[in-house]
Amino acid sequence: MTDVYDGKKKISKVAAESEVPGTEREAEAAEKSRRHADDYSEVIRQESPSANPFHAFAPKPTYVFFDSQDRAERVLLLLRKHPITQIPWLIAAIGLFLAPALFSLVPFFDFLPARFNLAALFLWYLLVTGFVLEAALSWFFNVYIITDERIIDVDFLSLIYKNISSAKIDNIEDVTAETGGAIRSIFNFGTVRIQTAGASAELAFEDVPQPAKVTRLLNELLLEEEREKVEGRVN
Amino acid sequence: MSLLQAAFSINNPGMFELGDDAVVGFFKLLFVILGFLYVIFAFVVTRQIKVMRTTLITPVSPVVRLIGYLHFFVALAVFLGLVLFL
Repeated sequence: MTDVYDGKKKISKVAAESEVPGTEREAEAAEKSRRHADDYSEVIRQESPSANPFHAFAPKPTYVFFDSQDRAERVLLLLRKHPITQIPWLIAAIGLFLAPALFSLVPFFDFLPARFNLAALFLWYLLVTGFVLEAALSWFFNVYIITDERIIDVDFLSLIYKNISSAKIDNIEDVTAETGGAIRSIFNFGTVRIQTAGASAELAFEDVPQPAKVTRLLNELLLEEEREKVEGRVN
Repeated sequence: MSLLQAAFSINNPGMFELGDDAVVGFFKLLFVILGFLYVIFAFVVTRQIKVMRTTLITPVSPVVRLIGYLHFFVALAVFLGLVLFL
């Protein structure tokens, strides 16, 4: 049986055939015309790619992506709170881990059968595990990301509350680095405050390592955005 | 004699007349409820890990997922142990 001519079908088919390679070509052309961060950022050029996913200061991290990332967007810097800021909960965890040894001196459940002591011990260590897991997850996934297009602040404030704030680089109005106190000076970490013209007026990268370097990178990115506008390479 | 012993008057008929079985039953119920609440918490943690993993994709994401599930199953095993053997 011969095919019945369907004009609409043919037009959409032709459009689809001509569109897909076109968009790919455009994407390729845009990719070629786009400058890499190594070309315009001294901070990024000096840093070697970080392959360790646990780094608190991870320039050009390999195999790290985020959910709202565009295809052409590159992660330039991934930041977490400095590991030294995690010491209090680590000390607390060690204390909680050792606590049953101290409490064995006080006969809490001695009037109950022995199996209750074992059950209490299991429950206790489960609670400690939960505490450690929560604190570790919170540190690992609360990140600050700087890409060649945006800055992103990912916050998991509680078990089920997630807050992601982002701002385009060209919306940045002012960048301030704060470092104060002996511990912050010794370990070189601090808070980077970024004033933006967007909906979220201020983004704060709290207790991140090397705040001066982060500020320098943001300034370099800002300059590049302005250069793109002047040269008409806006994407 | 501990404070709890005194409060529940075990081996001390002079204070309260609360039987040993009732005390053991009360504590078993308490432990089981705690275990159950912890299982719910561990389940929420696995959901939270799922959201975190999709938000930030890293090479260690599968390991984090495994830890979350391991934690949940250990909590479930402890809960079942409390129900069956306490």
